[in-house]
Amino acid sequence: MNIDQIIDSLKSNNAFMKNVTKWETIPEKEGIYSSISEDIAPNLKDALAKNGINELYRHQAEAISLVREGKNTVIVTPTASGKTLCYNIPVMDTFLKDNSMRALYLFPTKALSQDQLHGLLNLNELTGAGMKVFTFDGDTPVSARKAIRNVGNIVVTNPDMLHQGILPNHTKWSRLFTDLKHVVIDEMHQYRGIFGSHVANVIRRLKRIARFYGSDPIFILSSATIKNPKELAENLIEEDVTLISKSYAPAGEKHYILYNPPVVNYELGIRTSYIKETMRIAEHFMRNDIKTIIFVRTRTAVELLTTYLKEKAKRMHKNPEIVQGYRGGYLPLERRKIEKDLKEGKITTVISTNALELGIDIGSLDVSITAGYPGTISSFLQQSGRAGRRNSTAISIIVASSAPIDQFMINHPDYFFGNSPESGIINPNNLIILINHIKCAAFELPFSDGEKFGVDTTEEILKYLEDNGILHHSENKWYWTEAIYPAEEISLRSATTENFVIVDISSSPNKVIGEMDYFSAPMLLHKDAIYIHRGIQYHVDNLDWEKKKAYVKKVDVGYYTDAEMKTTIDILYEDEEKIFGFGKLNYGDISVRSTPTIFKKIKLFTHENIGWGKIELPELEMDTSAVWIELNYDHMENGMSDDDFVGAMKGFANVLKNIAPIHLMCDHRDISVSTYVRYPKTDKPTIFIYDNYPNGIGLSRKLMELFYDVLIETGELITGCPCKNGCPSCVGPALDVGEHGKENALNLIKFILSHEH
Amino acid sequence: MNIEDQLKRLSKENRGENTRTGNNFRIYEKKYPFPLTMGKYTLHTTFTLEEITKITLPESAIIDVKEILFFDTETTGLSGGAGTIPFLVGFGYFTDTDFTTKQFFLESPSSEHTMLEEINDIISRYNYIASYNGKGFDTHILETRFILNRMQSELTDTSHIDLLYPCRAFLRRYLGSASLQDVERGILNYTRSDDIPGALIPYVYFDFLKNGNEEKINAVIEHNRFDILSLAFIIKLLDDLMGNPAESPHDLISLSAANYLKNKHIPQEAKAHFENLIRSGNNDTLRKEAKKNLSMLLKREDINKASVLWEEEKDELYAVVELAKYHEHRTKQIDMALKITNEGLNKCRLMMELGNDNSRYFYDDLKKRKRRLLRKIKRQTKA
Repeated sequence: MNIDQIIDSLKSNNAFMKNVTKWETIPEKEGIYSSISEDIAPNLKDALAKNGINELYRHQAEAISLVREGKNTVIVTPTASGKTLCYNIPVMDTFLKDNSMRALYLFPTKALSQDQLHGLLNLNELTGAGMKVFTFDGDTPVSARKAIRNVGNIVVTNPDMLHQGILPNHTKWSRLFTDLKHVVIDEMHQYRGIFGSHVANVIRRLKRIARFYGSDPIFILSSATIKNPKELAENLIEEDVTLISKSYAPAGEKHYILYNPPVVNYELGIRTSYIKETMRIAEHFMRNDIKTIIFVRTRTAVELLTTYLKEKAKRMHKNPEIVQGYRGGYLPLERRKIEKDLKEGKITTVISTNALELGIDIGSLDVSITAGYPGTISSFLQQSGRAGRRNSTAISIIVASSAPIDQFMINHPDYFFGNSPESGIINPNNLIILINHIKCAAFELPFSDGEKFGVDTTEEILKYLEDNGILHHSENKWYWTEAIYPAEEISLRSATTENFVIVDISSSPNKVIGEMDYFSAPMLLHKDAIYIHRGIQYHVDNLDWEKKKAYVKKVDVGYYTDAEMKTTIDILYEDEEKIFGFGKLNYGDISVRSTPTIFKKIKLFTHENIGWGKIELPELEMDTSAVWIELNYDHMENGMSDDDFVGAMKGFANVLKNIAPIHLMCDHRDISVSTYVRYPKTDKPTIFIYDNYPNGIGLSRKLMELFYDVLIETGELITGCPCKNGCPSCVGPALDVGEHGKENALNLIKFILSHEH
Repeated sequence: MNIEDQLKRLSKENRGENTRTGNNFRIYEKKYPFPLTMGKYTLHTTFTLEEITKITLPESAIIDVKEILFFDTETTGLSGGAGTIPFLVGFGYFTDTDFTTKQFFLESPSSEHTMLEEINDIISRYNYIASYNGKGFDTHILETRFILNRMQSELTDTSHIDLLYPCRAFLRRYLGSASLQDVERGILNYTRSDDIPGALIPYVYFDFLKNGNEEKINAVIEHNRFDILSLAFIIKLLDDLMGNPAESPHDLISLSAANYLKNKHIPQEAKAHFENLIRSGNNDTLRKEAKKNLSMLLKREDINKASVLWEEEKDELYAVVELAKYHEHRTKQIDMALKITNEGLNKCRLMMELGNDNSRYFYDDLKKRKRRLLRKIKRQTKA
């Protein structure tokens, strides 16, 4: 069967179709082209022609002309719509007209930059103009660094290296900064949350240094589809940015299939395993030699599916080598071979981790299967972008797991094909992050009186640093007076510098397997916790609070642990208040004090409670930002007992915690929800939703805007769930929220929604 | 919450106000008239240098010490980067009557621009600068300051004699280190009293900036002055050492110097050092090492002389191998070569039985050689 026949056969297969919540067909699309501008350097035109490019897609032409007019531009078009040319053409054109030009390319990770560079290097070779392109990262040999600094026209690096290596040593890079014409920021949507808030500050520093050398670069950004690309771009670079979001690239017919595994136990809301369903679907394509890529969430799942499908291939009398795993940890040579075999048709089925959705160069396939919602729509779209060719039909399937977010998304197909709900949110003015970068900036160049770094109150921060002996003020300037190099101690990937290191003492020699932030460690790394890292269970033998180290041993046990936290919230400051019929909605700063109390041992699969233990750790205090909902709600009047109401609030909180991240484009661990049946100061039922980072990263502030959207969806998630009395896919199991927890939570939400005024 | 309140919550302790600002820099000048002494060395007059330039400058030259500006900096940190300030820049130079030190001390970082102008002015008057690790550290720091102050540095075009590298090459094996103070102690025989530990220096300056604490600044000034003074002695010492092998204070120094000169392809001086050590050295191990390295040097220019050394060192396997090669290829005495090879093989077997694994390498080499020699003999007999 060819792909069109398979589509017909799937459509007439009732057993398959009854689990499909949506089948969306996007018809074939013709490309719309524009000619290459007259004044582009002739040898660049020739080079493009040698690659078969005689005209551009209209969006490319638009982006290029915006950049050439000196406008900051963000390009948000699908995979395979030629985004890289949108920046490579104007950059190369500038170089061909002025060989002193320098540009900086920023990619979020190392692996990515390698693949994205191919096109640029190829074009460069074809022009024969000898533009120097170098990657500068942690792997760059020390002996090559000086040459790169002196002659590199395009320096390809990542934000971490810019932050720790380039900016603090900018005098060595004076040529780059003096002639800096373009800054390219690829994969902009990755710069959100903590990382994005840091990167926005690194860009502030970059612009400050560029100004010192008299340059004012144009920013070219590219991003996967999100709701607010222009806003995020403008927040990142703090300048006006023009958005290009409509793609005029041609595309073949594309079928999107949303597949929800059937429920097998309505009481508990249990569905068949999404991995098994994925296997079954993949078999179908393999039997017909259709080139398929399967994205799964863990390395273990890669191995599991690979083994299983190889076995299946044998039974189909096919060479099992047509099935290959493809994940991080494979050597570059192995990866190149898999890529080559795929192109030559020796491999038809590839199973990959979603971590590799960006960095792979395997050409186009016929089918992509995403097993489990990958966390964001943009990442699903990047995965599905792997399937599709100009002149043939392609299929992208997503198989939902039973996690609440998967269940919600699989029933909201509009989000996949219509408007993305996901906003990239950053808070560059998070005080802790801001202070850290003001320190780095002061090291790089003394601040002048009246100079502004992000906030109008820059001077107050400088004074604070002087009071702490870090800066010295003298004749209108602020000088760095510490013997250390501040960037070295500041990681762009975390909010605090105090991370816990996780040491595996069952390996010899002992191995550091990961890190965890200060505020999560008590919950997940307390003594006797079962910590799961990359699908492997570890028992925490000891948590050394002083030395910030957790010592763990590999184990294989049939349970996991769940810590309970006693949390006390104090409101520090109310920034904003909105009064509604149901009560009040506030935004402001809070202080969260939490102490882990006990942990429960929960049996895998059945979720039975099989024991507990005490946790003895000090109280943690964190100031952060929050929204809180204060309710004028009398549960007695609404026929709920005290216990019912506790369950209703808990259930509501559980759903909120799962819905909010869809809009905030964050992990569910990035926010916390705490409920009070009676908040001590006001005696009112209150629900706090707060950023799980010191000083906040802008998440709860955005919730203030999105409150009603989120609330409506919490209701939809609950009503859409087929379980009877609550399950882990919605409000939580009845065991946790009470027998009527589901109903009561829904009533509470209905109350809020119906009392807007 | 506004920033001010947030800051208050962050600040657990308030460290008090800074009041002091500086709007100038200080110059400390001191003259050391001839004769000047450091430890067991005394300088009576100015001098010329001709040896040291062979290993520190791209082209050797004979220079008058008065053409050299010695310098050293004290900085607010060792990590480098744009935020490290050289708050004390010390210079030293010879006049006809003395050695003068001139140190520039930044009372306030804001006066850096004026200080750098002075520094440029003084550097521009000299043909050479000399330092201890200035190429690896001080010049980078200073160049950065010039860029930050939008100035062109005079350092860039001035020839730089960095004494760290020859000191490391000549003295580290003997001293176990090549820090400036170990060189002073171990070679000049001079020990500083009450010297401030280098690690404290940035903090002394921060304390001065913040609280106007002068007390320890003088110790830093003195520390820097001694660093510069040492350079004047060390440059002379190194130059003498290179030119007069017989004056070398220790066999290990002679050997290190000779090896370094050999590797730097300065054969005449290297030979002089090796020969001196072989002639008058006290330590047999070192003499043997000298003979071996000298023989390798001679091998290229006068192999017959080298063969004399190998004969003397026939107990050593390397010498056996070299002699075998020498007779095989040069004197063409194949029988002699075979005899030496056999002796060597016997020796190797014995050594290997005694557990000396290094002999394996020579053994394999000699075995191959033996086979080839036998083939050659066969062919000769046939012919």
